[in-house]
Parts: sequence; C-alpha cells; structure tokens
Amino acid sequence: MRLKSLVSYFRENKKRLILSLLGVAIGVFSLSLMVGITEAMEKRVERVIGKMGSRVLVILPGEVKNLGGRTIQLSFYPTLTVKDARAIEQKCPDVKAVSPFKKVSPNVHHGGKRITAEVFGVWPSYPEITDYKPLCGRFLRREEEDEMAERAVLGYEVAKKLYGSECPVGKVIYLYNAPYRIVGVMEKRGTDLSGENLDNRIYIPLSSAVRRISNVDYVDGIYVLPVEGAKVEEVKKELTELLLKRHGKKDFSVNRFEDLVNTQKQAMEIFSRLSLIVSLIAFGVGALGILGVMTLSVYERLVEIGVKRTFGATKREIALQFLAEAALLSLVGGSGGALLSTVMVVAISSLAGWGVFIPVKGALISLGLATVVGIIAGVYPALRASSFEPKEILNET
Amino acid sequence: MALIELKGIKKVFRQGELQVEVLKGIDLTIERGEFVAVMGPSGSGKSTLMYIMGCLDRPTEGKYYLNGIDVFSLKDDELSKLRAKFIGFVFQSFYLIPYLNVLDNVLVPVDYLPKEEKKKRFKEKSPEEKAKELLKRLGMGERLKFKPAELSGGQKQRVAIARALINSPEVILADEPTGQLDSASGKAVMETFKELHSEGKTVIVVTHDPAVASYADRVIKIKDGKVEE
Repeated sequence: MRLKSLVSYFRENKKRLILSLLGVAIGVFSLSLMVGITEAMEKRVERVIGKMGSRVLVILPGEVKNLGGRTIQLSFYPTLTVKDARAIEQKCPDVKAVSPFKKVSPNVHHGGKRITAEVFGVWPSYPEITDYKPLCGRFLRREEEDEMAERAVLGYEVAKKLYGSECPVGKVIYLYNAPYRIVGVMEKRGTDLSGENLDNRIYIPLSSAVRRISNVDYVDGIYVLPVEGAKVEEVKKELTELLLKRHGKKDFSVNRFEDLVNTQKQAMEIFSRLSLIVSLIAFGVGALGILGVMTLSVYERLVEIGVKRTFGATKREIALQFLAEAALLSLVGGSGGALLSTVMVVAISSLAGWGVFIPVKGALISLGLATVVGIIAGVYPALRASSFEPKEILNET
Repeated sequence: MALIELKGIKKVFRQGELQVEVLKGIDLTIERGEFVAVMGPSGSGKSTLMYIMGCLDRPTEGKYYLNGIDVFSLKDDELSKLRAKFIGFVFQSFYLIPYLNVLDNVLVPVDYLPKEEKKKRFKEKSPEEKAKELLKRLGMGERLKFKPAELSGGQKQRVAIARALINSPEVILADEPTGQLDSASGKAVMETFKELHSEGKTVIVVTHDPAVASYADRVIKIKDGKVEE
C-alpha cells in the first residue's frame, strides 16, 4: 500500500521516472557487462591455456614486444626454418616434441566450389603439443611429412560444413587444383582469444605447405613441448642458445604460450578497468539523478507527507518510505541495466565463440550496488521529507 | 472520564521581539458522543486550538488529557500514534493526495495505525471492504477509481470524511469543512456529521459560520484567545 503513492506519482511523471532510472541503469549495465565479459574471457583463457598446456613454448621469428597489452611483431625475418626445428629436436634433450607451423593461403576447392579455410602446415607431433585429438580418422604421419604427401586433416567446422556428420576419410579436397586426400577430422576447438576460429582450418604436412604450396624455406614459428619435469625457463634458455649459435644474431624470440595468451588478457583487462571507471561515473550520475528526482518529488508530495503525518505517520515512517522508494527506483533501473547487459554478454560470448556464459556474478554485484546507491541517494530526500511538521504543510491561513 | 479535557491552555507565538499570546488560558471539557462547534472570527485562535486538540501542536502552557492520557508528556512518535488511534481529520481544502484514486486516498491512514490496533479494528472487515462501504454510504461508491481532480468539491470532502472514518477514530475533528463548498454541498456534509454523531461519534467542528455551528448540540465561542460559552 505504501508503495502505491510512489507508483501513482511516477505514473503521472513518467519522463522524470525514466531520467532518474537511466543513470543507474547505465551504471549497472556497464558494470555487469564488464564483470561478465572479464569473467567469460578468463574462463576462455583458462580453457585455451589448459588445452595448450602452460608449458608450451613458441618460437617466433623477429622481435616480439608487448605493447599496451598486445603482442606486436616488431620486425619480420624469414630466418626461422625447418632445419632449426630439426636441430631443436635432435640437440635439446629437454624437448619432448617440436612442430613448426606455416600458414598458407591456397585456393581451396571442394566439389567445384571454393571454400574459405585456413591451411596450416604442421608436423605430426602437433596434436601432442596442443593436446588435440582426432574425432575420426587420424592425424598426419611422419612418412607423409617426409614424402610431402598430399594428405589433409580437417578442422571440425570445415568437416561439418562440407560433409555434415559423416566422416569424410578417403574423400578429396583440392588445394590449388592438387587433390589432397582426407585422412581425419579433428575435435571441436572453438576460437582463440583474438576471435580466430580454430575449427575452420585444414592441416596438411608442413613439407607440403612449405615446398609445394609456398615454395619457401622459412616457417611462421615453432611450437616446443618440453619433457615432463624439465624447467620451462631452462628449456627456454637452451633453445635461445641453440638458435643464437645457428643464426649468429637474435632474430627470434622464445615465448611461453601462456605469456602470449596473457598479453591478450591484459589488453582486455585494461578495457575492463576503463569500463569500471565508466560504470562508477554512471553510478554517480545515477545517484545524483535519483537524489534530484526524489528531492523534487518531496516538494510535490507535501500534501501526501502532511496527510500521512496528520493521520499518524511518524517522522521515521516518512523517512523510511522515501528511503525505500529511492532504493526501489535504483533497483528497478538497475534491473533494467542488468537484464540488458546479461543479454549482451550472452550474445558477445557466443558470437566470439567463448561458449555460452551467463554473468550471474556481474548482475548480482551491480544490483547490490544499485540498491546501496539508491539508499545513499535517498538519505537527503528522506530527511527533507520527514523534516516537515504537519501543521506547517496544512496551515490554511 | 471526559474524552477531551483542556486545562489552562496557553499558546504564545514569538515573532522576533514580539510575543503574541494567541490562546490565553483555555479550559474546556468535551464528553464522548458530543457534537461540538468551536466558533470564532478569524484570528480568534480557534485554528490554533484545533491543532492543539488534534495533537498537531503543543501549547506553551497547560494540560491536555485525551481519553485520560496526558498528551504533552508524550514524545513526538507517541503523539503520532495517538493521532492515528483517536482522531480523524477533515480539512477545509480536503487535502486529498492528487495522484491516488479515491479508494487509495481513503486507505492512507490504515498504514499508520499501530499493528495491534489494526488487527482489532479490522477484525471483521478488511480495510478495503470498509473503505468501499464508507464510500458507498457517502454516495461515492461508483467513483472508487476516480482521481481527486475528477471530483467536485462536495465529492472531495465526502472522500475526505471517509478517510477520516476509516480507522474508526473516537473523534472527528473538522476544520472549516464547508469553507470551500457551495451551500448545498456544505449542507450535505453537515448532515453527514450529524448522522455520525447520532451513531455515537464525537464530532468537533471548527468554524466561523453560524449556520454550520447551528448543527451542533453545543457551541463553544472563542474570542481573543478565551472561551465565551
């Protein structure tokens, strides 16, 4: 019953209501969006690192720098070769598996139609390093690498697009009109943090990619998996020394896969921090909005206050009414914002392929904060409302 | 025990250096079930007296016993609850809450009745039922969802009377209840008070209008802050 006057009052002052709700709605929206995205991203990072293993090292040509949270290749050197990978395999006792990789972009045809997919040349050890399993068929073999065989393993999505749920082992796709026989399909991987779809790939023997398709002798990078028990930092040193000796200068960098992922995470964290500031400002504006509208409403609701006091309301009851109303306004605005941000987070995380994620934590934190903001903003109007004596309001002379 | 007992009530207003003694020692006893008009020209102090009787203002001096309770020994909150329990107010300008409909306006005082009193007084009928019944009786049964702005002055005052009656108070305290009404509506309002009185309610009407005062059984004239009965 006591809320009826609030509802009825704002039914007649809708614009004011919307204005007062907007600030808090935006505050809650940006805060829970931020918490939600950060959380979704952290989950994704955990999954990516978890799959690759936090021990995997990546050797990249040129110099890599972490600028503002982004990994930037400062200079490019076509100096990292398959021979380097072989040398690592033979000379580093602490290395369990090595796989160079080279991304090539041939025209890919299937059944007379051109399809878009990334083509990756890798060694047979690639699944071991990246903890990647075939869904059907098998991965590439050593002899296929040695023979520059025209064999291909499809990523999950490529296979699904072309063959549905059927296992396409034995079928053929064409890279630059050369037929590649399909020997397997890999399990589903999702996207990496930069949004690249890891399932829209075709894996072929590295030798085929380097010699047959691009006809160069350098690779894009080399994945290295240290043996169990070996210290990752020591392996890193070992690799650096070996490559320095081979190249004569430091035209490469050795990174932990985890660090590369984390730099992306750091970029997102900077974004998060900015949106935290934005949401705090929005909360401040929202609080001022509620403070203003509620204070204004006190003066427009003097009759209500006077009548209620006359009919037995204590100052405390009046103050509590206005306080509760301010909190309610804030909560209503906040719920709107939380709803919207939940929809956004679900949409963003599924579009980005981070998997469906419902940001319960963000929404709850923001709603709690909205209530607190409402109560704080309600203190002044509540005190003002309860400061009137009924005879002052109802004095008729 | 008298319902209302005023003893030596004095009220002094200070305006800077100036002190104005509005009530100069009022002694007054009103019994349960009386219909009393407090009459006097404007400036006589009758409104101040009404505020004091309504527990909305404290006198500078003197004692007030309402149903035997020494009113001005009470704290502000207790005074509020005393109003809720004992007094139903009717004002000249109605003071209906403009954004609430008729029914909700009548229900406003129910929230402020102390819990145990609420249980006792609404044992047989819910507040909504009682409000509807009161409004029906006052000829407003068809307009429960109307907003005050959609009502005439006489209708507004009838809603205000229903509001004053919702908590079944001992006393109806009306301050110039016909002041803003045409004579026909004014008459109807006074007839309603008379009817309430015949049912045993104590009704106190403050007015300057002899025609209004003529409905009462007893007229108390206030002049220059004193009683001239």
